[in-house]
Amino acid sequence: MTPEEYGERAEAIEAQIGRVIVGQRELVRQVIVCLLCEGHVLLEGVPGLGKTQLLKTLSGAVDLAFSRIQFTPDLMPADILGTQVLEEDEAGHRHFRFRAGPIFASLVLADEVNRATPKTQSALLEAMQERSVTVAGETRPLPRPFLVMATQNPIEMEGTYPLPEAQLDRFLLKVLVPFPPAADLVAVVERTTGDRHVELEPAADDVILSAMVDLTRQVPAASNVVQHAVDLVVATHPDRPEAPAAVRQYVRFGASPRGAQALVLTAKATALLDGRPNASSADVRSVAAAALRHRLVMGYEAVADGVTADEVVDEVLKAVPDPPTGLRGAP
Amino acid sequence: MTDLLAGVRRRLRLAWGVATAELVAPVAAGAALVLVVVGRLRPWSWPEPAALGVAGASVVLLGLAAIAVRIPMAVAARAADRGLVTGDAFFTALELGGADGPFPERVRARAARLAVSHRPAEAVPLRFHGRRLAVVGALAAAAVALAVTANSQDDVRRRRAAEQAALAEEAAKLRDAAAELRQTPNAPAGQEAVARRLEELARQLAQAPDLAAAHQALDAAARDLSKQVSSDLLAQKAAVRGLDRSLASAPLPGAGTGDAAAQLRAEAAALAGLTAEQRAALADRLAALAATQTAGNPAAASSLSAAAAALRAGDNAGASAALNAAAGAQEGAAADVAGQEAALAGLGSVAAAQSNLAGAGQGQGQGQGQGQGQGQGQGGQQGQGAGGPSGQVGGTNASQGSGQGGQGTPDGTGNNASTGLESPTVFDPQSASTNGEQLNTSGAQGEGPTQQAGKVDGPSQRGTAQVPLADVLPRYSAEATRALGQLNIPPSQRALVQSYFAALAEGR
Repeated sequence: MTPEEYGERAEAIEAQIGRVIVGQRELVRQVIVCLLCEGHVLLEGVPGLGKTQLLKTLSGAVDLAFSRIQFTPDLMPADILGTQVLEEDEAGHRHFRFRAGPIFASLVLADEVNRATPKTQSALLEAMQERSVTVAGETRPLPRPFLVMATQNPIEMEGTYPLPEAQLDRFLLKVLVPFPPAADLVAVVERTTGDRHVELEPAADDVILSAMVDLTRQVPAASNVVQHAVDLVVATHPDRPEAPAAVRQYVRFGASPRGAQALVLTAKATALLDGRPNASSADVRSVAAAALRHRLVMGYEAVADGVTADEVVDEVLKAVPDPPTGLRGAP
Repeated sequence: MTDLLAGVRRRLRLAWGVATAELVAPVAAGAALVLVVVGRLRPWSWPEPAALGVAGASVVLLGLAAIAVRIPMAVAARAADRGLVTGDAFFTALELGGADGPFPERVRARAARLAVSHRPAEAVPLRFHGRRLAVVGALAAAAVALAVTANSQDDVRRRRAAEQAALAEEAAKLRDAAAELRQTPNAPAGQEAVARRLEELARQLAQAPDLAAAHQALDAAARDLSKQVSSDLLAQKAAVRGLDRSLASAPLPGAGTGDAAAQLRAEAAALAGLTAEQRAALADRLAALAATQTAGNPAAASSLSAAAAALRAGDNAGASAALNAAAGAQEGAAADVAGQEAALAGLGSVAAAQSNLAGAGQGQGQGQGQGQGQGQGQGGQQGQGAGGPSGQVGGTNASQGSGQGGQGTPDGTGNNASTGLESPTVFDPQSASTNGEQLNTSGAQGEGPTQQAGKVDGPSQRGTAQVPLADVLPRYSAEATRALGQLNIPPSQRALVQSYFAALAEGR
């Protein structure tokens, strides 16, 4: 696959999604970035903004195995991963057979993931990181590409279980779903209140998407780009001298090395989607909020002062500008 | 891309220079202004040149630093990326180098496209900070304005420059005098010491910060040299040279025609060949010569007397030994006299330098004199001199006067700087203009024949007829000694003249 074909396929996927989802171009772009990076995405937004619809539409825009798991407090790990069932064959012999759970799909929609208990949430840890599942002592690989697309609701916190940091860290991006502008809302209402039914045409299959994922990782990122990503992550740690005052005041723990990986990888996908053959510092900065916001462990001072992770990331971006050339008078 | 990055490097050099200049210029301009202000407050000569030096050095150093500053290609690529907002295209292309693959090719191609469509000036625009430039302009304008406007310290600086020039000139003269002393063949050790002292003095004058220090050095040198001159110099000189001349005009029998010491040694060796009459005549001659040496060369006089006595007693060996001793005494006295004369000459050079430096930075004096040696000066060397001609035995006219320098004023114009110093002056016919009255003096005392010894020209117009006594004393003494040597003057009269000049040399 060439970068040009990559761009065409990505545009086709975006176009298919655009047939259903009105506006939200940045949201759609970031979800596609996660798809092309084979990274898991967490969508957070109030109910009714189309989170689930977006992910369902994405599954329709690509020809991949899709499964949806509605997370509830009584959901059990086996409901996600699968379980051993005892079967008897024609000869009367009994044996255990693994019955795969919904996790064994390329696109897994974990709807309202924070409503499941931590025990159930933890069932996703190995799948998300290792892209394999171990049941009854046997490790089974998950299909490629494998992508967990989770949603969660920032309100109605009663009866929910906030995702542990270890699991949050496994999401490549955490994308906030904003309320659409009025013009988009008009289109949404028109589309969803009529009798028009949209049939999506898959723009890519698993083979093409795997090639696209591989190509994403081949995009060159210059040393200064990688260094900038590292500098940003380092600046989120309150005990580091590079950390701005907001980090030192409100953050308990900064982003993990996965944050730097996420910054560089998504910068590469962003560059390719923009038709550029290399990642840049600007690409890194453009995805910084989505890549870092869920990786910051905020302190009680932040809660008390109503400071969000996004505001802290903004401060980090101000404190760590695109590194200058170091030469006086140079731009 | 390479061409663009090369252009960006040049542009970065310029931008670095501009940015650094904006940092350095306020400091340099401020320093220059401070120096100029200091130059207006103090009479030092260095602040304004230093201010100019600071400005010039800043420009030169900045230019050199801009040329020398290291700008790697990677920095140029980063600057181009930032300036042209290329999304790190140039830097990535530079890092990828000649790597193969779909992406490196595309990165290089994209960088090449961007390079073609942009100029280095677009990548590295020059940024000027108006406020900083305004500050620099104001400081520089103030410094220039203060530097070019009239300064009350300028007169002081000019006067000091004139002083330094005068010091340098006097130092050169002293070096010349020292060189002249060294040119004398077979110069005695004392003469070399005087030359060295004069050279040291020249060095001190050249390094003297002001006239006061120069005068101190001159005074010290004068004291040193004065110690080397005996008050009996004239008597010694008369004795030594008189013996030489006497023996030159009437050599000892059988002693050849050498100088006095040589003749005495030759005579000591030839005594055995003399007849009794010749020995008696020789004894008388030696006794007469001994009488002439009593005042100036007592050792020679004693030896000559002993030789005469031995001859009369028929002791040829004793006479020979005494003659050899007399020869040695004559040689030693001659060397001593030569050394003292060198010191006297050095003293004259020092005195001349003192006189010249005393007049440095002041107006020309007005002098009026008469042939009788009475002079009256006005202006820079206000004083009165009075004296009578001392045309004594030698007939040399000399006048003695005393004067006191006028009070100096701060502007130093027309007044004597040697405030409070007793500065005896004397009429100097060589320093005065001609067309004066001719004055003939004749020997008025003593038993010798009256003889016209010379003439002096009294000044008839404004000039520097009155000169410091120290300037002319060595010349006068030398002339008097020469005259004494030429004339057949009794020793007592010679001693009188010698004591007179000795008294002058000692300042009595």
